[in-house]
Amino acid sequence: MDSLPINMAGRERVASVISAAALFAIPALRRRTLPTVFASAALLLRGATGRCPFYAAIDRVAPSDQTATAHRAVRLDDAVTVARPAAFVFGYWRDLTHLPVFMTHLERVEVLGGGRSHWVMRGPNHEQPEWDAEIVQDQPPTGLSWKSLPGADLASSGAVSFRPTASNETEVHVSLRFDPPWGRFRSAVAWLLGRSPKSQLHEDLRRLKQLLEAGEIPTVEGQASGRNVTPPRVARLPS
Amino acid sequence: MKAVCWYGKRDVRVANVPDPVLLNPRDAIVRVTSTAICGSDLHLYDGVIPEMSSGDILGHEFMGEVVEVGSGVSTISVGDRVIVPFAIACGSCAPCRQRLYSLCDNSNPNAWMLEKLYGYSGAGLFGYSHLYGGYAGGQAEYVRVPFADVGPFKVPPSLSDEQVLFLTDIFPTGYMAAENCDIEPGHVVAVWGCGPVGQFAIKSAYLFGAERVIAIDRVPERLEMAAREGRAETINFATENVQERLRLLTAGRGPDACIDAVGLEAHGRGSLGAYYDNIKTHAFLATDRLDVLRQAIHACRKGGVVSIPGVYGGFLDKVPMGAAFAKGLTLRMGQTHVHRYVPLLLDHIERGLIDPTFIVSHRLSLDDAPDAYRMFREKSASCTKVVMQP
Repeated sequence: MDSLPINMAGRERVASVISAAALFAIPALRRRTLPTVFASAALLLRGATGRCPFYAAIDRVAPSDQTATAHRAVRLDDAVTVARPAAFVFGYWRDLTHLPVFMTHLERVEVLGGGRSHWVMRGPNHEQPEWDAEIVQDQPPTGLSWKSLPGADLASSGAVSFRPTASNETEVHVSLRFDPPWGRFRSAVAWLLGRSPKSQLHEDLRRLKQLLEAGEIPTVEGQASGRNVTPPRVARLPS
Repeated sequence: MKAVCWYGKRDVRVANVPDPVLLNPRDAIVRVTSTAICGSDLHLYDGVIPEMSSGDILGHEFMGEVVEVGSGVSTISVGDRVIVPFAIACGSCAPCRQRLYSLCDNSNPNAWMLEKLYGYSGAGLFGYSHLYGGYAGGQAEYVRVPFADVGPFKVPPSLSDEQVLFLTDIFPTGYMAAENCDIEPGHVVAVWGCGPVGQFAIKSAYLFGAERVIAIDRVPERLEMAAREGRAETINFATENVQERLRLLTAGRGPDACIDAVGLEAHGRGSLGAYYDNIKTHAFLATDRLDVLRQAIHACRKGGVVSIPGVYGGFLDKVPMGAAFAKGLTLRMGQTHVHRYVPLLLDHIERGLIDPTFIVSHRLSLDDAPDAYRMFREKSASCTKVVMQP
């Protein structure tokens, strides 16, 4: 069970322990059948450790509970298949200035030379944590990784592998990591978590795929609609 | 511009809305010359498809003249007369390269919604639910067409709007439904639903070599049309026992292929299943009424094909999976890959093999849309297909 992350909020853990005790003790339920004993034990264990296997199964994290995340790295993993050759996909990603085009949590990335770059994140409340990073591994067209340098507002690192498929498409496997201590940018990390980082990375990779395959990101923002107009009155009541 | 907007269940109105603008490099703007109401628009009208928003512009069967193109479009130019497939396809993703255009990976801006519901998302659609992107539709004076270097097909001036308009959806849909049947010479094909898709499925079945087609509906004019235009034998499900008649007409074999051209709003009558579906959908305990699908699976011969162009949206209750399994049936379904069929079917029309205009019963102005929707839904005034001009 230690392999699971702590994914329960403090209040939930207390509630879980109380439920365990209640299930064990309340007179109305005193007919202690084997299932109730098991349920009680499971609730107790879950509350005591803060690690719920069911939450883990549905990828739920405890966003509101900062104590649960304050001392652990935040790690995001996802993958997408892009119908373009690996060299093309690698080449796009290798120019790190492209990342903010499809990664919405990034404001901008500047390439400084010598494998170094400067990253600016788009946090909540106009917070913009910044850091310098350096390329750790640069293996065209299969792999790329980077990590932030000492003195970063947010210590972070990332690795991408580009694996060609039999039909000359490219599997892009991404792993991003943010390390504590968060310092004054704790809220930025909480915000990142609160926005469900997993699905956020998923949407980032979808935009990458759309850009590289279709050349643009589909949108309906700004299209015509009958929403902000005064619709004509109904001429006749519907029968 | 004028546009037919959805404001709620059975509430569509013609509103004055802003003109569309180019939003992406591969967009074009088309001035609509003709647009039709589709049976699947009625699912929106009846409020059975979720994620519609008040003010959405309807319509996915439309054609017209290109009036503006984005910087990324070089295959069509201003002044071209085009028909536009109802599904939006990027042309470069894996499904598009396999010519499965309605399964495009990249055209639905709300793909995450359908991923939650279905695991993966298909293409964005014009004038449909926000599950499919919420793209403004073509029942309007102008429409924005994304990926305009892939979707629009030029049509020759020798053909009228009505001759080519149905290439946008219902003709290819009926054709794909028949293609999915694996028809061989001598085959008997049964078609449930004699609306526009059913009528085109009947005609298409012969193009694939079917010997006989049996058409099933309850609207007398539609059965007459199937008999007259489609040379079909007909069964009126309101007055006849469908299973018994099909068994007799095929001398006990069952139809080689069954087409469900009805989908989630079947008006089954008399069967226990139909009452059950009706009660459950009205109590919001179910999403789809599937009496036709049950009948088709039950009636189909052993080893046959059930082809489903009719739209389904949710979780189906009491699907006779045991019958489908025991008889080794093949089930084929899905949105139509319109782009794949347009060149061939356009050629069929040009050579006079088929004239799609037989389906049109009403020619109206866009301003008449509210009445047209009501009439088409009630199938009153012998309404089979409404074409509107802005």
